[in-house]
Amino acid sequence: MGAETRDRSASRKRGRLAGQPSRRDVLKGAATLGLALGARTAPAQSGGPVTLNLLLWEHWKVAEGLQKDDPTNVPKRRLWFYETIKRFEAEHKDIKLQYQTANWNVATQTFIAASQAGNPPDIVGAQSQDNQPLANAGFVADLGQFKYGEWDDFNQAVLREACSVGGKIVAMPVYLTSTGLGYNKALLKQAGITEPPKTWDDLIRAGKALTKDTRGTGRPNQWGFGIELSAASTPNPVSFTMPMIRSLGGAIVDKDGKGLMDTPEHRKIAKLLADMYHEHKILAPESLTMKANDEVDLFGAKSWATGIVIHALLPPILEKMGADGFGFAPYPTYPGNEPRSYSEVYGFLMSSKAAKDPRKAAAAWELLKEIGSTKTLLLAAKYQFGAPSRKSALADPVYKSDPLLGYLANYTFKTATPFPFIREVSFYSETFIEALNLIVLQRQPVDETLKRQQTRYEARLR
Amino acid sequence: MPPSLQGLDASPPPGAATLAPPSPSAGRRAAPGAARRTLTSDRVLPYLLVAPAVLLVFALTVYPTVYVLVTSFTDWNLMRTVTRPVGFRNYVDLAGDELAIRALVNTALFLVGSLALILVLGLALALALNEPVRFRTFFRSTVVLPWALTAVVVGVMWRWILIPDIGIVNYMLAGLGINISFFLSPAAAMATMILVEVWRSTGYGMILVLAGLQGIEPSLYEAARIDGAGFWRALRHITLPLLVPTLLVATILLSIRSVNLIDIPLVVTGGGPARMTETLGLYMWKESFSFYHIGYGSAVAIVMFAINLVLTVLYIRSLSWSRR
Repeated sequence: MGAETRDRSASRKRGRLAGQPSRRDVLKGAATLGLALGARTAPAQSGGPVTLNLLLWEHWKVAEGLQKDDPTNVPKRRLWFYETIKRFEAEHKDIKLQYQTANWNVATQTFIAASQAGNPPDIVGAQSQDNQPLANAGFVADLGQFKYGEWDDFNQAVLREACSVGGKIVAMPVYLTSTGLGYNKALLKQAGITEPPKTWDDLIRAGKALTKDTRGTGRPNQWGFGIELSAASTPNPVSFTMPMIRSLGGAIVDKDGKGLMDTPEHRKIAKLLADMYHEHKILAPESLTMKANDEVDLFGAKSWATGIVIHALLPPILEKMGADGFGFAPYPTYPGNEPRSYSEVYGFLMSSKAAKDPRKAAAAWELLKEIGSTKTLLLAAKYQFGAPSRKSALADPVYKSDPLLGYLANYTFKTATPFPFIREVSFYSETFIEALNLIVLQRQPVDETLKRQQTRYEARLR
Repeated sequence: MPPSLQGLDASPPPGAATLAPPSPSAGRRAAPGAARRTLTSDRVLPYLLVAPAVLLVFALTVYPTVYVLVTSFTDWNLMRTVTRPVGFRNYVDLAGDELAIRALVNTALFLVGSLALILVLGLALALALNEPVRFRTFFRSTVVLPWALTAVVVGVMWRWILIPDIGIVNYMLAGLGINISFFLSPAAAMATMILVEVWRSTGYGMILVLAGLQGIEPSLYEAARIDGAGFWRALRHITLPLLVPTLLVATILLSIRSVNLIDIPLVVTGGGPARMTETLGLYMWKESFSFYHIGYGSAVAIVMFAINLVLTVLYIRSLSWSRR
């Protein structure tokens, strides 16, 4: 055996001496060639155009239109972004943009995984509650390092609460949308209700008049009130109930970032919703099973007469119901309380890796400034009822040209309350929604259920 | 002796081998390099040929499985930068996790409910479409069509069909004065999920059973018919016993799918109401990709892997038992 091995080795050596490459040599050569080719995939950007990679939300359906230079593929309410990017590309021929997409609820995770692998996209759109973990992990750049004299023009509450971490600005706010009470004007009129309900008692009274079984099945198919409370639309139920809790003076998070659900305000709201379902029978059961954005069809099919809706959905709702068919008002409150709203803040962040490359950082900063510019805000207003994140934009005539748009802009700017940073936010949301479902659907006791769920959430923080 | 054979039969002179042993160089001449290389090739070539497939399997299956196993012993959380080993803590937590236990029970319910219906309906359809009926190919294709659709598409479609108040089913039932809330109670939501899965996978079950049916010798039925056996006796004494291996394979494949299922529960109910219809697959997905608890999610994935392994071993044992 040993002699045979030596013999084979000698034979290979002889082959090389004779100038014949062995199989090992061939494999080595192939591996070297492969490594050399692999090393060429990321050329250094020492000159020529700078390429920026953008991670966009898939549901915006804008990346394909941008790649094909075809706005007909882009939903109308996303055209503000398409036109902004096209304007930027026309003005910055030396900057090339590439796009990748991810589902909105895994976009942050995609960015984190890419950052951990050392290859993050240069710019990412993120929800405000994700800014803090991204900044704490060191994955996004401090935008305050760039010279910019316009931060004072932005809504300071938004800049402070939604776009800053530890005093550093990490996200360029674009536009805001807010939640409020949407209502079917025709159904309210038929029921003899002249104005949208202002208090919860008003809403319950109106809801009883609006809840109807128009098909004669013994079960109403037109409901007085709807609100997303479903596990299938996490974390919207938290966002949508947050203004109700804040209006009562409560909070959904403490100063250490611990989410709260076992508070007097949470108990009051949970009881209100359970009573609407069981006692007053005005809360649409679909509230507990729906998916995010189902409101468009539920309002369109007259299943909901009134309901909590985010104003970003107004374009498709108005498309179905017409401008005269749908109204938007502040949340109802308890007497003596001020209405609050949840504001969705669209923000864009720069990866810390891009910030370390001077040319990339300069290009990315140019793009972020364009995305946060007044021009972009006005496009967002035109296509998506976007409320401005800047004071100077609020004065633009466009917000006076349309009463609804003007109302939304002022309402959102003044009541803007972004989603706060909550530790383990997804788990918190799921746990709170489960509690609401158990209380509303299965009539589990309010106090015990919220306490148990709070304990379960806190156990995960340890 | 013919001259041609003389040489072959001729023995070397006695002592010739010992007198003149072949020198190494003479040996190389006697066994040329080509032959030696062939020997080498025969040893190496098979390995080279299977290497790409082995590497792929290793990279895409073995390595991720081992990686998930290792991850399950850590507290890896995507929202934190530090990951520490935690030993068996994830498994201990899992054993006491009320939601995980509920997900396990839901998975068992889903598996038993969907498997039973798919096998019974698949068998019935296969028996019907094994007969020389008109438009047989068309019917076979139609039954298999749902399997060709992406599960997410199937889930979304059924959700919209069944959604109360605005879904087509309740719209039609309204004429009869009926309205059903398919997603509101845990039992109804679970039944709906099972029905959606049955609608999608019955065609797959039918194809597997059909393949088994076509492997049964027709002369057995002929002999049975001559002996006076009707359809039911032939089914009981010929078809079913001979289909046992096929049914076991179908059971293995469908069981593994049910245990791993994420898409249908995610799209149809989202695990609701109140997380009452979460299956292990969905629970694992939520922990890993919604809550970012990758370490804990990996522990759930390993438990799912173990369940699949146990089920497969059980089925394979029963397969060899049935062959005996």
